[in-house]
Amino acid sequence: MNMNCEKVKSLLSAYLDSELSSHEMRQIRLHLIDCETCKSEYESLRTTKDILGMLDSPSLPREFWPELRDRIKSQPIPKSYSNLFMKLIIPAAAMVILAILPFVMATHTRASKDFISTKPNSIEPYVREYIISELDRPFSDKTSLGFVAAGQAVTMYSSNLFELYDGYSEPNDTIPASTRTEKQTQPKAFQPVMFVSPK
Amino acid sequence: MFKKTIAIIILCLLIILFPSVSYGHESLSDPGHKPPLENSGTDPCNAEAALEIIERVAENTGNISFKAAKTVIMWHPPGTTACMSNITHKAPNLTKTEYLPSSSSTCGLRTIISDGKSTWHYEPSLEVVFHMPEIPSLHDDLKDKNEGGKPNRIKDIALIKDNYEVSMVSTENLIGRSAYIIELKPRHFGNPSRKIWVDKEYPFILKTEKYGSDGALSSVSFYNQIEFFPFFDDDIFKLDIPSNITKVELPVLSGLIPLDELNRKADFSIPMPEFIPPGYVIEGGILSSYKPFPAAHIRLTDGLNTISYFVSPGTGGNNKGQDTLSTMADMSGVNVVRRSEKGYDLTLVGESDESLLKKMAESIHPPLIQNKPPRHPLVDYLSSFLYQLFLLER
Repeated sequence: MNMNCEKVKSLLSAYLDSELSSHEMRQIRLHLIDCETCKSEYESLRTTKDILGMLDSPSLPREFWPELRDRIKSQPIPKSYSNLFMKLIIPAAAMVILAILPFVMATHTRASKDFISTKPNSIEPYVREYIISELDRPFSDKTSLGFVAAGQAVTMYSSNLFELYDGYSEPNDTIPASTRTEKQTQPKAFQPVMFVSPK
Repeated sequence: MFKKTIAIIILCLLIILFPSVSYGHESLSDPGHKPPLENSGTDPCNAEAALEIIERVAENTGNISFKAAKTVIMWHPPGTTACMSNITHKAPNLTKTEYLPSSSSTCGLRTIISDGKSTWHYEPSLEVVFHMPEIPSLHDDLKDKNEGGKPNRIKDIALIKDNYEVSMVSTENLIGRSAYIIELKPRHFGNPSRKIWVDKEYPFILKTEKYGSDGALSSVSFYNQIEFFPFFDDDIFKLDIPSNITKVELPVLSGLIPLDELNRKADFSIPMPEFIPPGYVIEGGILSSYKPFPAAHIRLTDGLNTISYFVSPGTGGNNKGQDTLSTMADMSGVNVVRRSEKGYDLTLVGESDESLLKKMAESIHPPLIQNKPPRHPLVDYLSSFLYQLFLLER
């Protein structure tokens, strides 16, 4: 049921682009709440994408690609350069990467921690708590408050915000018999009750 | 001479027995009689009668069984919301409310059933039933702990007396019933006012009009038809839904606790506002069960309206750590003011004027959580970029 860190990491990019199914999106969202490591990576990935997204892509002249292709064709790579690249540059680059990797890792972890505090920016949870506590007032109009609270519940359920509460349980199909009438066996195609407007 | 003496004696007796003859109307009031409402210009007897009526309404909330159809219309900046509903209430706790779908909707009735222990909300558009245990009475929890042990409904009335000019405007016939029209005007700036129509026979509100702090009508709710103390079977309080509907269990909100207890339970210090809108008192607080961040919810009331203050440490500010202040209006017509300072997230929700909530938010000075070492943005960018390049990208 729950995703492990490896799988979550592999899907983070797709999650960020909302390319996953709603079930996968929900699973990852839940995982990110509890797993600080994956959350750090997610925030870091999001920041990088945001920064890269802000860069303007320069437009190339129309003749650029044909000219480049012609130049490449006309100038074959000398063997000596190729050998030098293979024997010297690549190992040197690998050494540099290995040397700076711990620094990058340490800096990255520190940088990501600052983004852990990111929270859902929704006001629904606050308004819902406010409305529910208002229901207890002696002069409150329970019909309109109930209507608003029900609307909040629909919004929060659709946005998966209820999953962020302690005590929330995964939806199931069991409804206690005491709360149902004998019509519980009727098919799912539910026919609304006919209401006769008062005159 | 004798006649004159008799006349003087009779006059003295009359003065002693009927002091009003000599001192006029004011002397009719007994020594304990309260002075007229400040700046109200209303008849004190009228105000007393109006207060007595709303006291009876408060005392009898839920005690009157009825079956009715009701309309609610709300006006907000984003637009107008209206709903019609069928309500059945059996005293003291059983209530079923069916909200009628709009003409364009193909869904069934949104239904909410409460039995005093649980609330079931059937949402046909989602094919979901939400179940929420009833709040262990936000009020009753406090009444035994607070000074005097008075139920909050009585305290609400005392606050209303202090903070509102209550007067009886007139009487009116409504859906075939005779009703008193009572107006509650705030004494302090920035609070909504209300007009209520109370049935003459039963202490029951037939119609409510709410006005914003600017005096504009913000909502009206009224019964189109009502029948008091009808006969009905308990079976109608059972949900009439298909068996394969998804059930969603919602967490219960805990009851209000006094502030000192809340401070002990919270693992962070709760900064309190230096400015509290005139007339409001702190009722108590609860710890929110919303997972992503710990939050304390503190409630203030002026008897009629509520302000909710949410405080959460270590979550405030934008991604750059900058402090922010923003205001917004919810679809339900409540104002929300959010402020972040020193890493704290402060949220105020209420129907009071936005300027009051803002002033309150700005008067909160949270303690410093921690000093973050300053970093160069280029280091952040490079570290994240290299990390992604070497470790995440294949």
